[in-house]
Amino acid sequence: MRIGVVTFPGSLDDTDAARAVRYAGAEPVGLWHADRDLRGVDAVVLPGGFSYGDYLRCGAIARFSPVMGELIPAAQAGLPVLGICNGFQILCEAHLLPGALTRNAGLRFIHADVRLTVTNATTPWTAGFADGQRLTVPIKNGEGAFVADEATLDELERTGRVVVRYSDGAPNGSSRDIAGIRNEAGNVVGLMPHPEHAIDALTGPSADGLGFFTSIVGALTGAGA
Amino acid sequence: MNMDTVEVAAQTPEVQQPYKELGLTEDEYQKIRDILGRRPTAAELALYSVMWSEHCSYKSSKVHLRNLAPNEDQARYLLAGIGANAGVIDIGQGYAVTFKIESHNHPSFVEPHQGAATGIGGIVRDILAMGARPIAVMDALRFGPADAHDTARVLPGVVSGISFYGNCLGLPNIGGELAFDPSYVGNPLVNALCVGLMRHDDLKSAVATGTGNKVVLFGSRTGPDGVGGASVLASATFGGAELGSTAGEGGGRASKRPSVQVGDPFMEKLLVECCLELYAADIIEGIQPAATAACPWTWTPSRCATRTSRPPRS
Repeated sequence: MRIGVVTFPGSLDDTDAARAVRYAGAEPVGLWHADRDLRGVDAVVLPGGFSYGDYLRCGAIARFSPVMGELIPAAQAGLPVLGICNGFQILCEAHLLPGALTRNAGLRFIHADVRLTVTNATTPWTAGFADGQRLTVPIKNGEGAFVADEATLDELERTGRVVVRYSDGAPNGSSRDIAGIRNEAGNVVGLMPHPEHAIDALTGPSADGLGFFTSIVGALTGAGA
Repeated sequence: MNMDTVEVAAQTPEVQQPYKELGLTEDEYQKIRDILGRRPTAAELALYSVMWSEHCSYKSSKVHLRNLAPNEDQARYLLAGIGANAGVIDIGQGYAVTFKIESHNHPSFVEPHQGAATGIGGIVRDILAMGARPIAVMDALRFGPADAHDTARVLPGVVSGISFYGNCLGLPNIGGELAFDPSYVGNPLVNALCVGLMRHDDLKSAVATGTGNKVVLFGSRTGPDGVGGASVLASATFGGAELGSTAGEGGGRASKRPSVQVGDPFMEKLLVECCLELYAADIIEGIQPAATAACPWTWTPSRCATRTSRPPRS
């Protein structure tokens, strides 16, 4: 099982994402932003950080990088993709997910361990969780407020595309306390919190985040990939 | 344009030179003339002004720093000591840590956010130059009374500068110190620390020998910001008219603001990854951070041909 982790200029959490993939029993494959090459991986993680220094808008430039030129059609064709934090922002900029991530309400950068509720366990990234399961995972963002027009938000809720919610209310002003969403097909998931920082109680607030990575490994194995 | 060469300088000893504006005292200027046996050229004067600045030479702190020399027992664990860009300490199993703390008081006093931010930037580069991956930062701060006007002017920017820059580099700020005392009125202390992790074999030095090695200057673009930072800013006293000591008096302090460099943590993140890749490729003879006194002279080469393919942007 080979899972790609993309490194953009300014990516910070690619190393931890690769470690999480390893912990989950798969082989992490480094994908370079400037290469039009997904190297035949079975799934891709877009990690957190400050790709291109958040120039213009978070993820606005990364979205046009050569690797995304390969990734976007692959995702549209069903390749599982997990975007974490800046990765979520890039997915929205690439229109693989609806809505956008904007400046936190309160305008302050937030770094905290938050409780999350899994509200959709059908995606390959969340299939290992139980519906309604509580997780403790860190968030660290300055632009983490998910926004979309009311019609889009209603549709996301109605079709079960809200994957993870902030259990105790969004600390960053995210609409409807949304912490993560999926696309229609369910293969693309965007998450504001950082599961890769909660894979081992020694170095994180819990090991709850590992579930996202073991889920994808399980899903891919089950599909005989 | 007539170049101020060594020959010209030898023949024109009476030329007035702007040594005071460059931060040198009367005594220091005379000493330079004594050393050279003539007046310095314009370039030499600039060279001396940065290398003899407080920031680069620690001339007023040296006498105190000598008291910190390690004893025999401590020296056993030192892979690099005083004189290197940062100390390196063996922690066993072939690993070592390198860490250093450095002040950035004057820039932070003048332009709190950028002054403190570039303080983090500089200390991270010192750790990087030892061959290590920087893994965390810390800070030790001192301000005048919490309710003093100048504290309100300086403190928020210092905190935002440190947190912003370190965050963009992906470095956690793992601790610090904060104290308020009347003795720090108009004289805040902003100390930034960085710690890095490495294997013994990763150790790099600022010394390179041999012919045929290329000297490469790389990193952020050079702009007008930060010029004179060491010679003008770091060597000035807080209370002096040069820095505008009274709160609300904009003239002195504001005019020094261009001497505070604007930091670019995104570029530095790229620099960190680039350096670590260069180290892994084993093509570096020596490496020296050149933020302060950023010119090829920091290499003090005995014979070094320089060729700039593109001049610094002015």
